[in-house]
Amino acid sequence: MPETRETVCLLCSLGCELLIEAEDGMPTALDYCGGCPVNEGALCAKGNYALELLNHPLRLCEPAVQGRAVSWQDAIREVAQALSSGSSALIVEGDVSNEEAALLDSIAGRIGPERVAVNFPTHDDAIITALASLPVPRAQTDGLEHSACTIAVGDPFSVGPVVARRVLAARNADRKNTLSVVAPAENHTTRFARTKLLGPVRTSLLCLLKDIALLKGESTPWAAELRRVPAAMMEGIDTAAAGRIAEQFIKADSGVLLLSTSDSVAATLAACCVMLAGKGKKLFLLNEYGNCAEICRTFRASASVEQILHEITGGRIDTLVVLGSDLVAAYPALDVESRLRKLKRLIAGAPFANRTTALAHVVLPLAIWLEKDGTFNGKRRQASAAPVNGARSHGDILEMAARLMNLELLPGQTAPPQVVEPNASLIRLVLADAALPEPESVPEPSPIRFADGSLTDPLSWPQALKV
Amino acid sequence: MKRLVVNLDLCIGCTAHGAACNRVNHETMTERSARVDAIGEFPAVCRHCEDPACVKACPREAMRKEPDGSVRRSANLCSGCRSCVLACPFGTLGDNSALGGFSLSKCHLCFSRTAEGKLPACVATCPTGALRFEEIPEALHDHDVFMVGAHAVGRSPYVRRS
Repeated sequence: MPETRETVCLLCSLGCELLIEAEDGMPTALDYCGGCPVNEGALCAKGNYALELLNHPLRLCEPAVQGRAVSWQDAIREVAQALSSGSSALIVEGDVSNEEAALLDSIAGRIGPERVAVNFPTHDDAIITALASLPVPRAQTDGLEHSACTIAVGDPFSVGPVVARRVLAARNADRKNTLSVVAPAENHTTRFARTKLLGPVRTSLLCLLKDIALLKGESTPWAAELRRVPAAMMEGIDTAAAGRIAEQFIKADSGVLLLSTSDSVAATLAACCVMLAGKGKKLFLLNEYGNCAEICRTFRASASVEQILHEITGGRIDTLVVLGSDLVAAYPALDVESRLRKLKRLIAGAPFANRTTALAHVVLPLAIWLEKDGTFNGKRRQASAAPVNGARSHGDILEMAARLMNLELLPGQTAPPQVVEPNASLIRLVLADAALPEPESVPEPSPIRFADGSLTDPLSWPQALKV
Repeated sequence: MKRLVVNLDLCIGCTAHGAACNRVNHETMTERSARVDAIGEFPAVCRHCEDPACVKACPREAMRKEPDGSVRRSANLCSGCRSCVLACPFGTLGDNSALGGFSLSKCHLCFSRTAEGKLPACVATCPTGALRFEEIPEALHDHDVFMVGAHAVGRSPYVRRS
């Protein structure tokens, strides 16, 4: 009998729901879930292709050691041996549920937190960590619809197109509603902006923050600190536009700053704008990684991928277990490939063949989010499909390896983040960071190729058709 | 009958409609997109004309005007002569022969979905609600220009541009 299950999309942090119809564990159809309050049935192009991930041509078929197919038992024994050695490290990325993040936290407690990292190539974790310590009010999805003034930072319409429904509903509901966009260049979102602030995002936000401080006229030490920011720092920014946006944001009864960026300094500046603007102002964070906030909250990684790669170069780590990540593609500037070749043993698990699995001694096929039970984006969901080719989840692999290692896994003691009030010293730190050169932006996603060979390139709108 | 209409004030050019069309039709067709500079990207699909040129042009009667008002193609009768592609005054029929054999990319208004009371896939998926599946008010028959949102995007689906 066909069975329809609701699942939650993990292709960004919005948490859109969709329906998967399956027969005997084999998904047969995808449909739109009209009852979901987040997306009201809508799905972006990424969500529409979710089922394509299951039987993707690059999907890994079976565990392999040195290119030879082996049983899962043998493959997991390799993982256990690798993690038991004193010079090993673990890097995890991908569709990790809350339960798996908790398991990872307890494993890190046993084998050494300094050797376990969670990898987010889009730096979503850095942004979440930066914002966790600031007392900034957060908006829910429906808050976007009731906002009288919305400031979008980056290109949220491109990262999560479904968010545009509510932003545009607020914009069109009342002609007094203002939508302002702060972005490095023209993008999907700027086309709908009533006011645009184009240029380096950090500098633009700094300019906005200073204008808010000037308009508020508060005597708080951090506002005073901001008023002393030299005008030279804001060179090339449309200060008149920034002034208008600041004024609209302060005057509005309710305002939302919709943040979509990969720069943690810009995120801190945006949060400061919200806090300084005062009552009724909230922040809505849109991450590219689904479930990123929960993973960061549950698992407080003490190591970073860069640190682990540095240890590999120094010869202090000779065995690496990578689950879900294509490190070679994620860090093109770090010469990852030659560093990974120095390892005695590289164990790489991934749903799809990639440049890291090509270098690995042991390859493990991983399950994707549609094939897993667990809590994702705050919603507990059953697997919508049986794992293709018997792929295993991150949690299964780590749990079985821990059993072989006789590790007693205890729930991690996650300390709540320490909240820092935005005082003068914090602002001085932010200002020092803001003066540094901005990081390179994350590359745009590849265009989608349709069956008829046509490509969509969302950002290129040539002067093709005039009607 | 109901037609696809687009509100360009809400269209963000996300191309989700094309992805949905491609998925629902098992990759045998994709809604064509029209790109308008400084406005966006929206579906340019079969208008299901009242007096369809493609139906007249078809030598095998493979193109039919259905009782529900939609224009559909019978794959069994089609010989792949492409007369319909040449005849369409709006250029909305896509030749997908690269797929092997003659395959026509033509909107059929998701008749299997609408029969179940569902919306066409492109309308159901549209993230901003820019695409709608609505009855065209009778009054619009008398007008030359079909207004959507604040922009004039073309003539009525029933009227060929002169």
